[in-house]
Amino acid sequence: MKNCSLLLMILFLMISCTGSPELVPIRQPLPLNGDRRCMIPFPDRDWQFVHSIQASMPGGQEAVVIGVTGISPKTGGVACVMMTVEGLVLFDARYDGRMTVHRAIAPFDSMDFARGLIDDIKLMFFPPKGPLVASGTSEDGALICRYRTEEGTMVDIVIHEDHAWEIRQYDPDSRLIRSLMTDPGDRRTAGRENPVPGRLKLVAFGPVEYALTLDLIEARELSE
Amino acid sequence: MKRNGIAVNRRRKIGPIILLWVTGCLCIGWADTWEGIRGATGTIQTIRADFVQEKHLSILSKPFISKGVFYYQAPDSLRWEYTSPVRSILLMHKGKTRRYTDTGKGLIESSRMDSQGMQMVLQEIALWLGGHFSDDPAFDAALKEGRRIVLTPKEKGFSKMIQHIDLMLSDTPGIIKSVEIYEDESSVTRLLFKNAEINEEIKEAVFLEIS
Repeated sequence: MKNCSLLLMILFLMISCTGSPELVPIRQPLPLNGDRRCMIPFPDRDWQFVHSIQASMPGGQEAVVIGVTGISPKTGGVACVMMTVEGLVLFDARYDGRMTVHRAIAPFDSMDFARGLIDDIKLMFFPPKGPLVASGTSEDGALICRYRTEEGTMVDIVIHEDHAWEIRQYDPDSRLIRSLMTDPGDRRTAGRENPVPGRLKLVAFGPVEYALTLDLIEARELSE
Repeated sequence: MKRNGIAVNRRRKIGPIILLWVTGCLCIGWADTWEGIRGATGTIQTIRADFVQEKHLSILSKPFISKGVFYYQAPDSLRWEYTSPVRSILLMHKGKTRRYTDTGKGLIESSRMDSQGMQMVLQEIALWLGGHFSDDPAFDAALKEGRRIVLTPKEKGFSKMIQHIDLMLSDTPGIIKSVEIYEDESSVTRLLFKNAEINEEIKEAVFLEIS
């Protein structure tokens, strides 16, 4: 009976741990020459974005905040401010190789939150740091570029035929931990090599699951 | 005839100037003392006004603009509504506070905890609109020259969130022209009020319903 309970527990844990989708197979491999289309999601100049961010948290809680993000692809720098609709700043941090938190109001005052937020921003706007290890097309015809990052994660850049794109991040055990999807909508910035999506949807899998829907309010190229 | 005409024209030109001068004289002093302010705001039963909110951040190359409208009915009913870019409504009426935000699936009521935080903010606004600056439990108020009131948090913990709030009073007795909230040197929120309608009837539903 004891053994049976142990087996059930192991089985439950196995089911729990394998809940996330695994690495999508590449059906038709392509040469590893770095298809330029895989860089479509990533701006190559300094930008500043203002988004309304709808956060869905565990337990069904939902909140809306305003996010201001500044990115510098050349330096890898990130500036981020999160505030209420009424303008109260909840979180203000910079990352330029090291993190500087200027302001953090509970429950956003932990270093884990700050690191997680900056990591999410880097995933959204910066190309993966690491070599291209595979590329090709998936079953539905989408282009996939697969990178192995310095942290040991795998990142898939997926460009669909309609130019919508996805970024999927997998842990070293090939379990999906982040999924970012775009919806260019009708607010695509015209005449840019890197269109700024009207909507981004980030889903985090794992012990703390959440979903963020970012609707673009303003996009400003800072070098202008 | 001509002289008469000139005289009439002069009277027409001078008349509004005199009226303005007299009105100006009446207004001078309404914001010089707490008693004057309380007296002026005591005549106000309702206010409806549009507002523009400018968020100034060191990270932003130009201020982030939000727009909205608010309704106030003495002593403590308030509807504070953002119409763009994100619709959000704060309601306070008969001691109850509610907050609704457009989450993309329509206006959704925020959690109780979130509303509790906003209750304090709304109570502050109602206190200001009622002219009760010197009775504010959260802020020390100082009356400055130029119809300016500076509020500084009484609690040290609170001053980490807000350094001070500057309120500019309008020429019109009892009306606030603008509010500036200084969180720190890199973050200021400026609220500018316009199109104020005073003592017009406001239906109770405005403070109860979100539509």
